[in-house]
Amino acid sequence: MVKYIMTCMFMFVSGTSMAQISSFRLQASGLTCALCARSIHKNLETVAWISRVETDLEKSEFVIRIKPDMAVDADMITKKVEDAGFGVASLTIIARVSQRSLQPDQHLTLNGMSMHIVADQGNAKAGEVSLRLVDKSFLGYKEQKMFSKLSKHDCFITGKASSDCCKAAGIKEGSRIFHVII
Amino acid sequence: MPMTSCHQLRDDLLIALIATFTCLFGGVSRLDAQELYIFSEPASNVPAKSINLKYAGKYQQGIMSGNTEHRQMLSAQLGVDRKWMLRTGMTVSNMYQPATTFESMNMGFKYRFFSRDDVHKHFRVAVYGDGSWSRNEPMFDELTVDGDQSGVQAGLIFTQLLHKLAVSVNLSRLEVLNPRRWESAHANAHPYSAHNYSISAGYLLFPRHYSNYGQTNLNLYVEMLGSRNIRKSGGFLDIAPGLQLIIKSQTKLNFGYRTQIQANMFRMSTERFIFSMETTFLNAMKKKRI
Repeated sequence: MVKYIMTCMFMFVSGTSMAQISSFRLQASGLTCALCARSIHKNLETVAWISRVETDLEKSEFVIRIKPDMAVDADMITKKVEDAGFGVASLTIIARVSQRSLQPDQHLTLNGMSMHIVADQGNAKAGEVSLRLVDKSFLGYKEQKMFSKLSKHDCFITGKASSDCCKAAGIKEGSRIFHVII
Repeated sequence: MPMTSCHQLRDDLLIALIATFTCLFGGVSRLDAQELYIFSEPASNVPAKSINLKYAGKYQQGIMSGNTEHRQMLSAQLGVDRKWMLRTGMTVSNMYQPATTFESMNMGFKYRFFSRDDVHKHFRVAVYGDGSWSRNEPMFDELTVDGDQSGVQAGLIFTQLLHKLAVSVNLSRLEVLNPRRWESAHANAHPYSAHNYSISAGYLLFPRHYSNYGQTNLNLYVEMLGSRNIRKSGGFLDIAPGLQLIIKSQTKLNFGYRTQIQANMFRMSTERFIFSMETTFLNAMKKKRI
């Protein structure tokens, strides 16, 4: 029931906006074989807002298609991968964003996920964009250290919306905030 | 543990390590591997909320009977969460008497407490414990808790996966809990404690490139399996090559052969064959979509 209410709230908030997540691109870590990939695949298929999962077995990569107009949660993807016995090496959101431009420290909310842009890699145009999640739980062991210095904001350390930046963007203090590079 | 036993165990481990890597790297320039070993286990667990069912048949020529003896084993493993796994099993056998009869029950756990994962590689460490009840009385010097004796075993497993190559080291302590252990007439007649160890490695032969879940996998394994008794001297070191087919990324067919390299103890047999079949039911404990 809570999920249905959240979905209805999300649809109400997003209104007629074109901004939508269409898919996630996942690279899993800790596996090489099809047997292991299959356990991740099957776990992801149990998530209600995922419509389809496509796999590149050679690269341990998964394209996770999202049902339209549903609230999504990237933490659920990490949980499903870890339950299968593996980890997330990278997770990228593929989304259609209607804003004319995106820039560092801008906030946006897509399919119920509040995000804080921490860096720009030159892909800051409107249209279909790739937003790579850089919170610790979406990175491989080596990249966790590398990305840890991307932002000095409290929200980047805690994963919760803070009063210094997120609240000003209309995101409720203490709620889950994801950090992305574009 | 006596110092001589310590040195002996260290020497055995060194021999096992050298032999495993010689076998594995000797004729293969590009190595792809799995860690789904036939005679031992990796540090990894069954996926959370999933059940793995396994049937295994072990065959040998008995030293005392001269006949082909067998043990049939059924076991189930349950992934509680991503770190904890529970398992239980039972065996029937004719290894300790002429007729095939119910022999033992066992249960255990494995807890993966360290995991460092990266793309196509991981290093993991798990601790495990097993306990068994067996109707068999002490007869041989080789100690196990998979049917032979009542007892407990605890150990550590280290597994390194490098691309498709996997290598595991397993170290454990086993204590037989048969009442005869504490009877003066039998206390020195048999060993009741042992250190077991194994070094396992393997690689994926086929497919060379993955395209879908339906491809049958062929994995090759070489395992070195050893044991060193405590207090009553004796030990063995076996080499165990094996083949594994994984069908539709779900069902495994395992064929293994195990033969003695060296031993100075009274064993049931110096060589064994094993056939096993196992299948995993993913998300068997969780049907509801969330």
